[in-house]
Amino acid sequence: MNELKTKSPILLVDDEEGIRRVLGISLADMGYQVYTADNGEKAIELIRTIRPPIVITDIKMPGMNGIDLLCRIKKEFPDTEVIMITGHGDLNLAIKSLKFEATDFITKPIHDDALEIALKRSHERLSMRNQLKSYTEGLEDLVREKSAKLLEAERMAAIGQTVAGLSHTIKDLAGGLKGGAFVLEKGIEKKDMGYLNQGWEMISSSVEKIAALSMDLLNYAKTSEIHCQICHPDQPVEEVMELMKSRAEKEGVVLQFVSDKNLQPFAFDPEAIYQCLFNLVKNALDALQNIHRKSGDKTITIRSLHCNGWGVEYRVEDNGCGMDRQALGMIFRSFYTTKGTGGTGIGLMMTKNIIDKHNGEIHAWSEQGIGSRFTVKLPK
Amino acid sequence: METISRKAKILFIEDEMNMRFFLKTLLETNGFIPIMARNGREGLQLARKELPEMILLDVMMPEQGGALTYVKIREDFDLRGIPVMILSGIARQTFFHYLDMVNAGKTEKIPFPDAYIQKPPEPEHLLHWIQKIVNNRNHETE
Repeated sequence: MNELKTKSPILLVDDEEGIRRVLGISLADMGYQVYTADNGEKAIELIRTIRPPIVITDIKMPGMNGIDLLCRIKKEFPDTEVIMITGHGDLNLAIKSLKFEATDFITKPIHDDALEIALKRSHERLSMRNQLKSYTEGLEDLVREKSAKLLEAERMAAIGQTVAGLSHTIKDLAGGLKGGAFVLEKGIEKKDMGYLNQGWEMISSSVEKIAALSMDLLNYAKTSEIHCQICHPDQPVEEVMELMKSRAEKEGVVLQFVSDKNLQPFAFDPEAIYQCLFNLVKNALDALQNIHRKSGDKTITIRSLHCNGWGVEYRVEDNGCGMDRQALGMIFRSFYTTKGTGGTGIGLMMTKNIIDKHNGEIHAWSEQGIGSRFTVKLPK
Repeated sequence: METISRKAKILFIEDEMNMRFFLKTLLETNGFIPIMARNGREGLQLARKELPEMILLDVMMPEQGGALTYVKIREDFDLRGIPVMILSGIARQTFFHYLDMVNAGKTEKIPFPDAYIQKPPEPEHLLHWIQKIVNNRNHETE
């Protein structure tokens, strides 16, 4: 790190004073101007003023944890390199943070060697990004008149990301099918009913998942453009009620619709909004599936409400399993799912896209063991 | 060629049910005795009890994950000699980088796993590696 001529700022976030002091000394010794914060909120404030290119943060902190902080930083200052400190030497949290674009992670107890590897990586990425930036800036000058093309490129990059996420899901499904086929083959070969049954079970569960995925994709494609027409806001709700009634009944869930009589027709895409409400109710049913509540006590309520300045406010509430704060923060991301291999992570992403295209708002509230509530507002 | 006179015990630590069915079938039908564990903690207990010829280890598991379990296996005096194959959806370089980070500053470094196979595995490929590793070990201990 001798090549650092002017001192580069670095921010160190940890709730433990000891770590801040010891690590701070190492970093200062490596030639950094060290700033410290003992919690996420303070860290964000400091980042806004000093704009450090590198932030090192502990994962486990009271209040805003390291992963939340990482997401906030990447959202507000995507060019910042963030190094995570993981406490107990387990890879799970570290991998999770890499998924959210952390640069690297170091494990406690922290050794200077590990710190140097992580910092070297950060500097390489920073300089690579700078090169790329000056390159694309030059490029933009060249093709300023063709800026539409750049937009198209950006769109293609977004599609690329989507395809990458999707291929991962498909890879998992293909793996399940392959495994099932192998077990089934052995069953045929050895005339063994146990293998036959197990293999068949594995194959049919994968097929069901593939069917669900293709339905989600199809619906997603259908709603990529919205077509507004004047329509009563209760109409899509009634259609969802119609379709979901029998599934709810079968699963012992009371599905009810409370409508506000003061609502007026306005312009929106009834098919797309139907899709949104359908997704929300389907999630609510899933959330009620594996919880121990008496049949009659499982409820989903859809409300359509009059809301000043808006066309309508929908609420979908359930008393299912709910989500923790971390899950709640990520549900609208592409391919994020709380349902393990049972979900595709497309439903809520699609729902948010549709609401965004209507210039509407969607909010989620949830508490583990109590339930969830999704609120959707559509403008007039 | 001499055949192995007694069946080799292979422990696999894997949280996903379908994967467990697959591995169990693969091992059983090829003359191994499969032993199953659902997470790292259970896996370590079974490993100490059964002292298997080989361990197959998933990485992303609830409770105690595979990375920490791997480190614990390699730090355990009775288990450190058992070959371990990592079988995971995580890219090989991510796991190896993790070990580099754990090893940084340590005098006694934790060695890399004996094999690393990314999920979903090809049955033949997986079997080839398992047989190779178990045979090697049998020759060594003879």
